[in-house]
Order: sequence, then structure tokens, then C-alpha cells
Amino acid sequence: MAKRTKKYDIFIVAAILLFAVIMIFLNLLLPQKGIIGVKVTVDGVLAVSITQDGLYPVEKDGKHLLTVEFYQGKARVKESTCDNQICVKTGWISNTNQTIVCLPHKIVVEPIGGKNTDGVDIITW
Amino acid sequence: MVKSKKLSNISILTGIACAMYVVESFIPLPMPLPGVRWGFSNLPVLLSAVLDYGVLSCAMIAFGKSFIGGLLSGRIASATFFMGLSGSIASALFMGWLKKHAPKVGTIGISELGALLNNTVQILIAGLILGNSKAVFYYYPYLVLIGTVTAYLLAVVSNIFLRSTNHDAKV
Repeated sequence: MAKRTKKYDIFIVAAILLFAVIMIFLNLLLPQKGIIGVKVTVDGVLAVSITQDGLYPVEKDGKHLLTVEFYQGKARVKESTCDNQICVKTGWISNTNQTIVCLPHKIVVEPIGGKNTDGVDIITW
Repeated sequence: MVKSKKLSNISILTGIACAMYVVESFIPLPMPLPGVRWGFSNLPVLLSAVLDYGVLSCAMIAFGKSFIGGLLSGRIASATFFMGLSGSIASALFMGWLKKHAPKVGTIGISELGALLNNTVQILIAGLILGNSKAVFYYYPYLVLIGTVTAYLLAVVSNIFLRSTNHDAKV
């Protein structure tokens, strides 16, 4: 009977796990600055830029989509009319590496800038 | 293998995949990830790859389960649908190709690599849909981790199936 688990399998699984762990590590190692605001884009288009505490409803074509709440340097989607509610369940984001995504509504809540403005946003090599 | 037998086997696999597609949409993920499915419905695709049914058969099963499953679960033309469709087909093609051209890779390897490609394509499509790729990359490593576990489970189930039905002979 042909053996079904061949020797490359372990390398492959180990390599994939390593890849994922490294990515998570890099995500966590990036300088985590407190956010000074968030920008909300709908379908790639900027809808509202938030720097003040408060509740901000996001609408498109007159239909209410979701409400973004900004409070003391943290942001969340308070409620949403989408069916899977993943954006609401994501909860609060508090540093520049996190984002909130609502895929059914194509809305992205992204942090703007950071407390130390001399930091870099993206490093590529 | 007789052509009609292969065709009926592919049909059965597609049917199973559609059923799994609908059921897996009800199982919640451990962490909120937009547009992501578990990937259990790739088991029939994996089986078809390991049984040497060929790249085309795997792609047909992948397309069938995404399309019919999408119709059944009412989520056609949504973000999840396109992500799942692209990911499944890319993964199916790759797994079929792997089985034929990389005999040194066993069931677990094929399943894991298929899952990796599935997740990668899903993230890329999600980034395209949103018009913003930086956001979804944050979720990518967690997706890969979940996919690794799922792929391992699927590979184990495939191996058990193959072992109990003595499918080592060339089909």
C-alpha cells in the first residue's frame, strides 16, 4: 500500500505555520501608536474623517449602513445593518495596525496617523 | 475507470460539497473575520485530487459547490461568494496539478498547500473588492492558521476514506 504521508508534508506544514507566525509577529512588533482619528471609506471612497469623540452614522444613497463610534482614542462599529455583524463583533480598535472591515457594505474603518507624528506608516523593502 | 463511473463519482462529490458549503456557512469562526468560510467543503475537492480524477474534475467540483451552494444559501453575487469561488477554483487547480506533478507530496501536503492558496486568493479578492488591501492583510495570518488546522483535518479524513475503500489501485 502506498504510504500517503510523505516526507515533504511535515516541511510544508511547518513552513506554513512559520509563515503565519512570522506575519503575526511582525504585526505585533510594528510600533503601536495610539490613534488620533479614523477615516471611514465606503467602496474605496472616503465618507467621513473622524477625530472627535462621538457617534458617526455612515450612509450611502440615503440608506443607513452602520454607525462608527470614536471615544478617547479608540474606535468601533457600534451597530450595522449587515447580515454577518462581523464589523460589530470586531469591537474596539486602539492602535494604528488594526482596522475594522464590513465586507457586505464594503466599508473600511482605518486609523489615521499616530500620536508620535515622526513615525513611519509603511516600511517596504 | 469507466468514464461513466468517474462522472457519477464526481457528481456525488459535488453534491456532498454543496451540502457542506451550506452547512459550514452556519458555523461561526473563533474570531470575527470578514468574508471567511471554514473550508470544510473542500473535502470532496481534495478527495478528487487524491483519487487522480484530474485537474478538470477538481475544478468542476469547486465551481459546482460554490455556484450551487451559493444559490442554495442565497449569498450569490456577494463578497463571500466571489472570494469563495476564486479561492476554491484556484485551490482545486493547484491541488490537481500537485497530485500529478509532485508525487513526493502526500495528502496532508496537498491539502495544506491547497488551503494556503485558497486563503491567499480569498484575501486578495477581498482586498480588490474593498479597494483597500492594507486592511485585510491584518487578518491574513489568522486565516492561514485556521486553514492549516482545517486542512490537516480534511487530509486525515481523506486518508481514512482511502484506506477503508482500498483506493490504491490506479483508477
